[in-house]
Amino acid sequence: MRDIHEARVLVVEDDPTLLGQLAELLEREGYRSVRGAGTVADALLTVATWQPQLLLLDVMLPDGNGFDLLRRVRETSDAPALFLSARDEDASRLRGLGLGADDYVAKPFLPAELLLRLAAVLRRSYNLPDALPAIALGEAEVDLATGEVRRLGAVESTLTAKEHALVKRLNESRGSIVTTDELCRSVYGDEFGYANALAILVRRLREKVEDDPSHPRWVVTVRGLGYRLMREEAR
Amino acid sequence: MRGPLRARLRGVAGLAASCVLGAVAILAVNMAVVGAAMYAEGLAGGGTAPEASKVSESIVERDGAYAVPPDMEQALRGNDSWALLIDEGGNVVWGLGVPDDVPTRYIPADVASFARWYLNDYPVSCWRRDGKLVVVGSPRGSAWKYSFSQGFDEFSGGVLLLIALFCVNLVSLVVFVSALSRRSWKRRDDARNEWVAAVSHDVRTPLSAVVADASLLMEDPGLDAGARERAARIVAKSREAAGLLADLNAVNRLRYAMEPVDAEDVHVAAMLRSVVANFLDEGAGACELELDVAPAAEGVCVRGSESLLRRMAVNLVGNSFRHNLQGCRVTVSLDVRGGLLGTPFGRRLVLVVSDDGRGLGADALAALGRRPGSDLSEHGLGLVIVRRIAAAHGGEARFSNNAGGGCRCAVTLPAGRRRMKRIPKSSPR
Repeated sequence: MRDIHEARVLVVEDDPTLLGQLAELLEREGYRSVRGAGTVADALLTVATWQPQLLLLDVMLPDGNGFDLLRRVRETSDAPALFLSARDEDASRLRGLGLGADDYVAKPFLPAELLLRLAAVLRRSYNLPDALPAIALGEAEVDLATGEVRRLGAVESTLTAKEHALVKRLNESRGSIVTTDELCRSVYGDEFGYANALAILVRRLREKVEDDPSHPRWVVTVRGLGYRLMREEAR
Repeated sequence: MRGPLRARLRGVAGLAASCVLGAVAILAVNMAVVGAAMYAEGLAGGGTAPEASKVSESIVERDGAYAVPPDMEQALRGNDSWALLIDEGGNVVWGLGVPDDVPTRYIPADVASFARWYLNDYPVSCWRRDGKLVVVGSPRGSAWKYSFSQGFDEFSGGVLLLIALFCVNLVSLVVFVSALSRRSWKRRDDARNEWVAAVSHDVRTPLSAVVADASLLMEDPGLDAGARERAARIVAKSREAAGLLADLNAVNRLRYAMEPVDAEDVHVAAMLRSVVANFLDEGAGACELELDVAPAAEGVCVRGSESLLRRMAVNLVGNSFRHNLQGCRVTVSLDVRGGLLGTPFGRRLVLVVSDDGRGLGADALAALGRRPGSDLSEHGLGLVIVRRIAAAHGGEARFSNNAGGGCRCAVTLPAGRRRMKRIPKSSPR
C-alpha cells in the first residue's frame, strides 16, 4: 500500500443508516474499497474472503460485540481496528482487554475527526509517510517535508527537530489554541517541567518564521494557556 | 466525601445493630426449640425407668419387709427395669425383677463405682433412703451415663470461651449478612447501569447519523450561508444532547460508587488549560473567560478519572455561559491549600469558577446545598454532577452567590503528588 486511500476498509455497524453514511463518507474522502457488514457473522465472512486492511467496528452488534469480533479476527489478521462506541464505559473496557485496538471514537462523532483518526491509524500501521504540507505564513513558507523555511522562494533557514515538531503540532490545530502542556507532550514527550524550554523554543521558531519576532503575527501567545498558529485569512 | 462517608457509617451502624438483634433472636429461637423438645420428651415419658427418688418414696416397710405399690411395680416391670434396696452393711434387703447377674452384696468401692457409672453394665440411678440406698436399674445398653465435674477456674474459662464463640458467631453473621446485602445492592446497581447505558447507546447511534449528515451539510458549498448555519446549529445541539447523555451516564455510575473506576494521576492545571482553550476556540459568545493557575498548583495531580474531572470543569464553565447569554466575565482559578502543619498531608487543590452574571436562584442554591441523594431535582444535571464528581474524588463542591452578583463554585479536591520534570537515567554533565 502506497497511499492510505488504497486501503480495503471494512465498516461493521448494525444501524443501516449510519453504515450507509460511513461508507459514503469514506468514499467521498477518496477511499476506493469500502465494504459494510451489519453483523458479526457477516463481518467474519468478509474478513475471511476479502482480507480488509482496516476495520471500523461498532461495539454493540445484534449477534455479539465488537470486542469479541476483533478477538476472532485477530486469529487470522493483524489489520488495525478503530472502534466506534456509544457507551462511555467502553473506553476503559477496551484498554483493559488489550486487544490491540488502535483507536476509539465516541458516538456521536464529527466526520472530520473520524477521518483524521482513521488516516492516522492507517499511516501508523502501514508505515506510510505523513503527508507533510508546506505552511504558508504570509511571505514565509515552512515546508514540513524538508524542514526548510523559505521566504519569497529562497531558503532562509532550516528548522531543528524540536522546532519542526512544534510547528507541525501547531499546524495540526491551526487556528485553535494548543496548550503548553499539549505542546510539551508533542515536542518533549512529557508535559511536566518543560514550560521554560518551550518558551525558548517558541522564541527561536519566531525568529525564523516571523517578520518581527517581538510582535508575532503567526505564532501567537494565548496568555496562561498556550499558543496558536494563526490562519491566513485571520491575519 | 464527608457526606457519603457519614451515610456509609450510618449504614454500617444500622447493619451492625440488626445483626446483633438477629443473633440474639436466633439464640432465643434455638433455646426455645431445645426447651420444647425436652418438655415434649418429658410429657411422652415412656421408655425410661421410673426415677430412683420416686421408687424410694413409694417403697413401704412393714415388719422388716419391703414392697412397692402395684402401679410402681408395673411401671418398673413394664420397662424391663428393676430395683433393689441396699442396707448400711452392703446387703441387698429387697429387690424387684433383679437380674441373676446382679450381685446381692456390695462393698463401698462398688457403690462408689455404680453410683457414677454402671452396675455390671446396667445403667442405674441411686437415691438415699434412711441410711439405705435405692438402686433402679435399666436394661443394658438402654442409657448412656456421663459424669461431669468442673473446677471453678476452668468453669469461668469455659464461660469466657462461650462468650468468645458468641462474638465470633456474631462477626460471621455480620460479614455474611453484609456480603449478601452488598451483592444485592450491586445487582441492583448493575441492572440500573446497564439500563441507562443501553438507553444512552440507543440514542447515540441515531444522534451519530444526525451529526454525520448535518456536518456534511454544514460544509456543503452548494448551500447558502443560512442553511449551512442551521446545519451547524443541528450539529452543536446534537452534541449538547450527547453531552447530557454522558452526564446521565456519569451520574449513574457515580451514584453508589465511592471511587472512579479508572483512576489515574490527573494534572488538573493542564486539564483546565485544555478546557478553557476549547471554550475559547468554540467561541465564548458575549462572555469573557480567564484562567488563573497559581504557581504552587502547577504539576499537582489528583487521583481520579480525567474524563469525569474534565466534565466537571466543562459543566461549571458551561453553566456560567448558558445562564448569562447577555454576557459576563467568567474566572477559573486553581490554587493549593496547605496541608496539616505545613506537611503535604491533607493538602487540597481548590478550583474556583466564578462569574459576575445573574447568579443562582434561591431554590437552586438550596437544592445544591442539600445532602446528596435528594438531588436530580429541578436544577438539572449540570451542577448536580459537579457535586457528585467532587464527592467521588474525595472532595466537595460548594455553591454560593458573589456579593457583587454572579455565582461561584469552589471545588476542593485532595491533592496528590506533584509531578516534576523526569530526570533522564544518564543525564549529560
